[in-house]
Amino acid sequence: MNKWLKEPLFHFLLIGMGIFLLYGLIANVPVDEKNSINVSVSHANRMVSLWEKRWQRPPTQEEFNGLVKQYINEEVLYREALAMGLDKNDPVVRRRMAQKVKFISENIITIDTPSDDVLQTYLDTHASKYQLAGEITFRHIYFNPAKHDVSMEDEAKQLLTKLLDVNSGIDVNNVGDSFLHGTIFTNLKEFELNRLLGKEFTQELFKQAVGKWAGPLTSGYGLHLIYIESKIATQTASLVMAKQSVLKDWMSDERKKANEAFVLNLREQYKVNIAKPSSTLLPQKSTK
Amino acid sequence: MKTLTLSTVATIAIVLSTSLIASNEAVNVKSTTISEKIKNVYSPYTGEDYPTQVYFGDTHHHTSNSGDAFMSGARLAPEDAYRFAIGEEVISSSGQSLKLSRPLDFLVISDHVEGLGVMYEVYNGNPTFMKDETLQRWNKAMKAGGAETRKIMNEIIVAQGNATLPKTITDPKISGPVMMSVWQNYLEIAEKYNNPGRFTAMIGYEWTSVPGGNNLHRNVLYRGNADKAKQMFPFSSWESEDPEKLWEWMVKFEEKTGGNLLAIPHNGNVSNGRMFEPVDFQGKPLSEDYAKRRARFEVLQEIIQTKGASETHPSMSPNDEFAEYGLAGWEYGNLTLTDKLETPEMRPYMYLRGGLLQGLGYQNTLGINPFKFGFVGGTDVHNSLTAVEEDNFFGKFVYQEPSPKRWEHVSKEGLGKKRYTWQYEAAGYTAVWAKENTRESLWDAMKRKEVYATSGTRMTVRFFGGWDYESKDLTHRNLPKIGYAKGVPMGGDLTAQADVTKAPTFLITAMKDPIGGNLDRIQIIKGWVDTKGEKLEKIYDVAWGNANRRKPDAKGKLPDVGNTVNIEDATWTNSIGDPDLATVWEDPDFDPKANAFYYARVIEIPTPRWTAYDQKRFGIKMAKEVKLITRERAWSSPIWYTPKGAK
Repeated sequence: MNKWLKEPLFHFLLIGMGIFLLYGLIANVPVDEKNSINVSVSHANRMVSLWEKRWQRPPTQEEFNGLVKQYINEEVLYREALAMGLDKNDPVVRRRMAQKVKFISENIITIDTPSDDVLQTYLDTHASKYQLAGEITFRHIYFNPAKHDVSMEDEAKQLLTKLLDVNSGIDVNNVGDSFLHGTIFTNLKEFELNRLLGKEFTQELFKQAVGKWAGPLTSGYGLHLIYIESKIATQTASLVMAKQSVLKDWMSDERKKANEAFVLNLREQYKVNIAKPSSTLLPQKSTK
Repeated sequence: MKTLTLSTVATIAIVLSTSLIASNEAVNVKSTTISEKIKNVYSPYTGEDYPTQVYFGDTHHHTSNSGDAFMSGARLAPEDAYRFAIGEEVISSSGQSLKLSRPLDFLVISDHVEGLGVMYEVYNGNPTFMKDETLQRWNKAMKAGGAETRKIMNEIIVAQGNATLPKTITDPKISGPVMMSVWQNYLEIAEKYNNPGRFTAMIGYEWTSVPGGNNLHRNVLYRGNADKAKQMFPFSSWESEDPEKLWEWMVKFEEKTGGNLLAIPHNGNVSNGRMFEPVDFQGKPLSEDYAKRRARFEVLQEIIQTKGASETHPSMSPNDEFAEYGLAGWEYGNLTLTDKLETPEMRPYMYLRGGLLQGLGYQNTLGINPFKFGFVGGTDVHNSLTAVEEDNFFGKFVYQEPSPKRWEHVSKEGLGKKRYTWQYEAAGYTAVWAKENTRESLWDAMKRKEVYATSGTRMTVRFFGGWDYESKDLTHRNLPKIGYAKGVPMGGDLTAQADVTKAPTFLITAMKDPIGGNLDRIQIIKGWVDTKGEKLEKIYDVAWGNANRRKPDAKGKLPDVGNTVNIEDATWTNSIGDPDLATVWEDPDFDPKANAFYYARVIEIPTPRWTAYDQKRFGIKMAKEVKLITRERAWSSPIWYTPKGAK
């Protein structure tokens, strides 16, 4: 008896059995888990709160059972699909997975708060995005083509000459035709004037000098002699005024750049081969 | 904008009148009070607490989030729609770049809530939807494009009309999550582009009820911001096609969120007599309760859009020489050209002038008018592009974007009739009189009906009703001030005077679009119910261009304004008509005992229609029945008169 206890073959068998048992212990657990689906408390809670968010009320017991059943069925199908390799070569899955990596990268990328110098440079290069609308206060004398003949422009010019003569004593309230939008426009934004009298008129008006009768300018309604009280031309905002939006735009630009760099960086780890498609599949050269 | 004035009115008169308008009661400000107040105030700018600005926009607009838009090839999202509306250059779904002549002041994106964003998922082959055979077929057809896709699109519109859409789509458990996330995404974009003072992105959606192909659609407009709108997913016609159910939901929304909603029915012209039918959805005669709720929520009606005009029809209004506008192709039948052909008997119950007249009748019988609405214009475009200028028209659907063949394309066929793309109108806009360009200010103006509709022109129209306007008011340096002081603006009410010899007076002014055609004339359209209960209408020419050489003939008919359109070059000149028109008019046929409404219609001189620009630019010749000249116009919201002692 003692003899075969010391027998190496016996030791070998014993060790082998131990390993077998141990393997069974270790390996059997994952096998079990692989075939089990657990709906934890936190998961159940999440399902309820998602439902509430969508429907603005908690689910009934029946609806909750439905949710759980739907989840389990989906999970079963999902795992089977993975096992069958259905995640490969599916354009929707591909796009979704790629998107997820992009989202993760966007969360990882951090961008330091830039200095004012950086923002000022950004503002200067994108000046057209940070315009403060021009503003104007003026009065006008209107010439309605329906109330004049071909000499209307001459009449307007003659009136201008008189207006420029300090001794003529013309009462500006009693000359010209009535204009339904009024005769005095106070603190009107450039874009508001565009709407009322058209773009061409507005552009011409802003070119005129302050404090002097001028014209006649042409609008869609006829001719106008104009007198500008004050004007502020459209101009680029200073950094102090536009800092918040400049910062926001700069951030979003930087983020875009960082994301592009991230993809480019990943791409460098791949060797990319591009084959030419058969010539018949591509459109012929544009004849434009 | 402020204007210099010689005299003024005390704030109290304005506050009095506006508060009365708001409570929807009659207003009568005595002129003696006004002149007393005028004397007591030195500063000419006091009391200027009224709308001085008119804002132009679109109250009816679809993006690729709408199922039928996506199916027809639309790929531009709400963001593109806003960018285009604020004046940026964009590339259309058909690959053409375009830009507006001038930015819009506001836009209501009103996507079909039924299946919001779902078609995009069907197109993408979302496995949830692909279990359904019909959806699988739709998926294939969408990928095929062209005629295949269009066939499917018509199938969807018909399925929606007959409530035979696949259950997979209409089951909220399946499509609900997709729709909710698209709704929230839309709200985020609306918040991003809403720019108080400069551009309003008003929140809205379309409730798409179309029982049997008869159009009962409503656009729902939100006063508030996304924080309120996101609290409840919009009510859809999948839940109910009955407008009363929609109103019930609107009440619930208002109670839950503290927000405010209004609904705008549209395209009465393709409702086959159902828009103003004398019964409710269950077939019962209209009740007082129905009338009250309709009058509360449906304060506006769309009178014009790409799918034609819904004002009136020559068979109803034989004396209206401008009644044929926007009818060609739309007067055959309903939206889908199914069910039955349109008949003259249906028309008083579907065109807006008929609806207003029915309303006066209910005022007599129920004591409340369910059809007391103002007018708005929309586009109903399904390509994210409110591009409805005649020389810049991008059609309703993507397949109607500019191309040499679009005019002859058949958009609907049924009951032996065809509806062609050339019969679509490049229209329209809603003009809103408000104090500032914000969601709240614009919505409030809509609620009090201080709005007017245009066929796509941006003319400025003022319309006031009262008892004391006189011709010399026209010489006032600040006409609107007099307008508000002595009466009510468009959308308001007049009540009886103690003095039965007095007739109502109206102050009307119109200025042409700064880059548009001159004005031909201003008309007043009056509708009333006489003591026998007969519904009557009359049209008056009250102001016209070239008045020095243009006089009405012996029968009172005003000579035609003329025509300067050069079809070949698609041009015209403003050598006829006037740049502006203004008048005070007193009703010569006033009967103090009869319920009545009055609205103003302003007609431009003839100008080239979008088809003429197509002919010129593509070097083509269209069939001779195609209309090449249009008469752009504006319709003011009505002002109502209710006799004293009326129910």
